[in-house]
Amino acid sequence: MVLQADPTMSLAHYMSKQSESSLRKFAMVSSVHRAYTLQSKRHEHFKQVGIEVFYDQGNYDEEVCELALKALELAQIKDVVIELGHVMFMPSLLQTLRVPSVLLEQILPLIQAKDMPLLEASMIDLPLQVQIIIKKSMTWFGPVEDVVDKIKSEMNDPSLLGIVDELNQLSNYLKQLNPKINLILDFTTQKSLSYYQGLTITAYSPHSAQPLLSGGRYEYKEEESSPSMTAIGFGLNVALCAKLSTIQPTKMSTIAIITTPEKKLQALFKANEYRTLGNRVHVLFDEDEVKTTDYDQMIVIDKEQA
Amino acid sequence: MITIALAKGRLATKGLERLIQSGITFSEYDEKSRKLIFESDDKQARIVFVKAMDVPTYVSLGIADVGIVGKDVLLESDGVVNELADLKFGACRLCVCGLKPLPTDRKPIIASKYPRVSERYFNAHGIDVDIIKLEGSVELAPLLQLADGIVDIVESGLTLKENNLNIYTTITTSSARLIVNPRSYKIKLKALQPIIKAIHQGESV
Repeated sequence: MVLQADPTMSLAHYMSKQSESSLRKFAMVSSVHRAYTLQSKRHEHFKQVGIEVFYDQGNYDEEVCELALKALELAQIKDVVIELGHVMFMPSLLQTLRVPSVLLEQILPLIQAKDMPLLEASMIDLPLQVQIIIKKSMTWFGPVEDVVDKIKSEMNDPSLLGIVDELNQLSNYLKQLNPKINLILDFTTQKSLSYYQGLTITAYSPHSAQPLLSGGRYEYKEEESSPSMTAIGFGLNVALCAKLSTIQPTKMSTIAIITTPEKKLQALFKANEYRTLGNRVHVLFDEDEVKTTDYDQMIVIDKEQA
Repeated sequence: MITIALAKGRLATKGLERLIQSGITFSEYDEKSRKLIFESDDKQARIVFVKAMDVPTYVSLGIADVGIVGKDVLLESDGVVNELADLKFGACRLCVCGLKPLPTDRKPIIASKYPRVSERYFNAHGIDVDIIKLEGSVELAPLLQLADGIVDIVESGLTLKENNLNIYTTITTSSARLIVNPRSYKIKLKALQPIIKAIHQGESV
């Protein structure tokens, strides 16, 4: 069986082979085979468009998130919710709370699954105060102001507040671009793709269980010893966006252009003009048998017209 | 509107009781009705009745936002849901039962409504078994020699006793769980909170 992998890793592999690391921006259209997010042990196959930015200096979070928003705006999908998350927040929180590393490894997947009964059972040996904070942290998602206030009232660790500020600033930037944006922050985010290391962006619609768009910042290392590369990107599920788009497809007309071999080139140019307007065009020669009922419109280009 | 998936039976009755106690009422609801969808009087929620095994599917696919289901069903399901709370009712055990202990001189045959749980359990214990999936009346399987043993839920143990079956191992305990669709949990949080609180008896999760 051959699986079509996510192109992100192939691009990262390609970039790691470049002798000079520098800023590179890729746009991609790809066919992806990936673990189905709704039911375990299943895979899904979908077309995605997206971008990847590889860089060794600077910060491209704003630019990439802005492009993600623009893509969704162009697709004209109603009721989109944009979620910003940070996969390092929860591990940092658990470290700050001095949760032993063995337990941390057990707890993180439970946080991802929001499996509260098992999480509570796993934390039983931790001090009560730590248990309370971890339990509270499971609600650290929602509208930006609410969640930022909640965290700031509970935590004063600079590294955690740094992550909160990072997402808060990015949300402010995105809100300036589009004040109507429905934005939520999720500090419980744990990405299913392990290479994500920082910011994550996901777009949801209440009309679909699958995310419309998903992406984030990641570090890629070719080997343990090789230097890591930073990248950020996103992929947008094309079929899902088309399904939820409010753009009405224009009715396609079928046009016949009837010409002579001498005027073939002129007819082909004309055909191209009509095709770019969204029509289906057949170029036929005057000796061809034409069934007029097959066409909405017929255009004749012959010697007289020339 | 929030959609709540319930499986007719004790878990649904208890779940509905809690919703009604919190003021989320369904005056159209009639236990004897064959209708499968009932809207709340304030039109903010609706309950849908589905098969117990389908509750995680409806919730994971976002058709329902919330569900009440037994842990036994969740363990058998492959739906991806957030398990918000142990509701502490509908307690039972998932057990290996039979007329006599499983044979050791050949591959035992196990009948169950829970083939995945059974497979995981026997694999984890290094016991090679053949599993036959049954939809109901699993206790019949050893009596009619379809299987050497069964994996099934045991509540009072009365059915087993009446059919001369014994419990040999308890695989796990089970109780009702409050589950929620991960996407709904994030984007419908405000609308979900009163329902979660109602089902979880005042505790927000």
